[in-house]
Amino acid sequence: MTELNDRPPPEQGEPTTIAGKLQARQKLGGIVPPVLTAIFAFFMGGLVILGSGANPFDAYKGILEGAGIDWFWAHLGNTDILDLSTFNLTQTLLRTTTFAFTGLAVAFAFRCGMFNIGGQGQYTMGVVVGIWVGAYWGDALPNGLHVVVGILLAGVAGALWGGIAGILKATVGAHEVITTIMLNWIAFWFASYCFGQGGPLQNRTPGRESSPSSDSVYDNGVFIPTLWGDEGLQALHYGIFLAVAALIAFWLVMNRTTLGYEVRAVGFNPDAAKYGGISVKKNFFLAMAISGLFAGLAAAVDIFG
Amino acid sequence: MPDATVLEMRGIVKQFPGVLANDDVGFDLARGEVHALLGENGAGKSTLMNILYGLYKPDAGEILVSGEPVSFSSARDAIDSGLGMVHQHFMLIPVMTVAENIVLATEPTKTGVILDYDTARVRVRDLALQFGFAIDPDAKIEDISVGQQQRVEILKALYRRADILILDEPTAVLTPQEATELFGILKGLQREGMSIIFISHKLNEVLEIADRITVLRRGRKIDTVPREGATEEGLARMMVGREVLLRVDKPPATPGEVVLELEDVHVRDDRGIEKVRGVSLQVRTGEIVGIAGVDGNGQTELVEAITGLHRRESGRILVEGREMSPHASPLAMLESGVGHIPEDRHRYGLVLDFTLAENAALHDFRYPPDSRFGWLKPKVLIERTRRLIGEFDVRGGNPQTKARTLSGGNQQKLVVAREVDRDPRVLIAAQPTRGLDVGAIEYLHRRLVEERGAGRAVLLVSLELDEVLSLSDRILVMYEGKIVAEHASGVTEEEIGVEMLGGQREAAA
Repeated sequence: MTELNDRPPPEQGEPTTIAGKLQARQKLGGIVPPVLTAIFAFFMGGLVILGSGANPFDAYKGILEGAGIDWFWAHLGNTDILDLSTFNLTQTLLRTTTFAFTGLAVAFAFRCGMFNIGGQGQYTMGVVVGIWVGAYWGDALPNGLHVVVGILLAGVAGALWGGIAGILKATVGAHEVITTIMLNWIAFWFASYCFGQGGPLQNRTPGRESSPSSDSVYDNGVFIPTLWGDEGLQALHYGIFLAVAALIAFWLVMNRTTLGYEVRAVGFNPDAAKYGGISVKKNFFLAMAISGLFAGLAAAVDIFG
Repeated sequence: MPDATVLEMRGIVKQFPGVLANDDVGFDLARGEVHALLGENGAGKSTLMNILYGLYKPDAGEILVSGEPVSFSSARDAIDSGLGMVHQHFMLIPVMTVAENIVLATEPTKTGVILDYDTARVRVRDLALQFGFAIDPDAKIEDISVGQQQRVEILKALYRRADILILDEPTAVLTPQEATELFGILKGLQREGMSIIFISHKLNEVLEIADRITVLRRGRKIDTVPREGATEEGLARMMVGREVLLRVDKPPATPGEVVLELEDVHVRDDRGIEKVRGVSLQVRTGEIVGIAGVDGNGQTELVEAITGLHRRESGRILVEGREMSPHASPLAMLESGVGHIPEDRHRYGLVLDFTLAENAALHDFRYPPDSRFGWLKPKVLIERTRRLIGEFDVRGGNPQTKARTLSGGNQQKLVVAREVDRDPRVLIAAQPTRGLDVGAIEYLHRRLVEERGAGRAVLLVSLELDEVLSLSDRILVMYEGKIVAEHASGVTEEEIGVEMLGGQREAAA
């Protein structure tokens, strides 16, 4: 049924419902609801900590310090915590790099109206391919190029894995939530086989058969150069700039390309997109594949980082 | 017969941020009267009714029920004072039965907690009998027609002992037959002593059903007039504030070559039912061909087949003599020169969360100058939209506002602007004025006639018979998936009315 509304356009109306007020607030700046949500979460968490008999402020301080936030004032005097806080902060930023990619993965599919629950599986396939390339292609490629090829192919692996769900949705209408969860398990067992006893990607370094073969990737000298921190431990590498670049690329693709236009049109209103001559099916596939690409890149920065 | 005043609104003022929705508006309602509130979209009719129903608080003014001042702070208060509102979008629960929906919130119970369904049913049946409604209390809402759902809403109000009924654009969702039936029901209720407020922007309806008519324009009351002596022209002038041409002034057509040709087209809908059963037609440049028919006789499916949105079963479609494959995508049809003003602008015509500029590029974003090598050119999009907004008088937004925030009439103008600006060889206009008010309709009609004058072929599909009659150079009548008659312009409404209901076909059989 068409809406044959006689009411003034919504923004002229005074919001009377709670949802209406929230919506008006959201217009003021999308930042408000997430900040409120976070504050509320801290508050609720604090109540739980209080209930268990501890001081919530001590607990939150511990969490933030564990994340390395004290690095920012460690220089001011208390230099004996510098090493620890540096390590903590680099670890936080490393995780941030990975999650930035997986977040973009979810966001891309979401803008096309789909829930990509399969980031895990796409990430796993990225890991498998990344390690395969990293550990075994060393003879064929010079080191620098090797890393680039490894990152790209891990991304492609994620894209293909995501694309399968996209194709299934476009052709037989299988819901992406179901198919991506199933694909997660396929990827999990495939990886378990590859890295397990007697598997094709089992670590071949004598004496290290039981450990994952990712350290042979490192031993090959195939890794993204580090930026900050102790190389022997896990140090922050240039992958974080890749994540920033990916974020910018995401925005550009979404808002400045015909591809992004189509993806958003399908996400907002598939019927109107079809009427506009856009192939809804093609975009289901593309959005899932690009979503998977981001997940695969998340794997790549972990493997080569 | 109208006697005592049962309801009065005096000096109502309601200010919304940036718009004075009601500015010193008032009217009174007599017992047993049907009082119409007439006005364009955004004139303040719905605001006034929401105030009456306790949903908004007025900034000034008073409401009197049976002479007593009242102050409603919620719909519950209004219901308790004997008001019943039938919203444009029904407030029914689809999976529950008619009886369950009607007694909702005031259910008869056994021992205070368990729903006494049998009592509810009996009460609903008695009520339906009393007012002469044909409705099955045990039917589920999702299984009954929109017209019947509306009757459930009316019964719900009656069940709550309403004696003042407010109907917000009740015919907007109804087919012409259902509307006629509704008017019968309302006249019955009127005889029972019900007072009815009838909100509408359709002149002919108001003249048919109302005893008195109050006209609103831009938040102000213009006048209250009795039906006797009121004319469509006079009411339209009050509504719009200027002279409105209800009859389209058009020079004779000069048809040229055939640009759209259909041969024996058959279309099945998604459920496999054959909705178009062998349609052949031709549309030439410089003419408007109108398809008249009652809703659901295959018009929607026919349009979707021509525009590639729905695959046809068989038959040929030729655009400018080129045969289009049955598998031709919507894009292929667009590129062949078919423009389409869809009947449902919210479902097809617009991406409501896109900006006006993005919507204006819905077809052309993929070609230069809108984009090059896959990169959009926002400046080009915005410039074009600015031009279209000026040219087609789209009000209430700029290229960067979302389409959702425009009123229905302006949304439709944007759709028309986009389709016409693409310069299609043939323009399919499906229900181009659905839900629009008089001023916007006048504009769109004039525009369609201008497009015809500019040598475009126009196929007009509309459920509004007078629209088809006043615009078309040739009229085809569609019934049960077939073209059952063809007329030159000048045919009367009565002749076509019979054919629309299958009269001609039976006579021929």
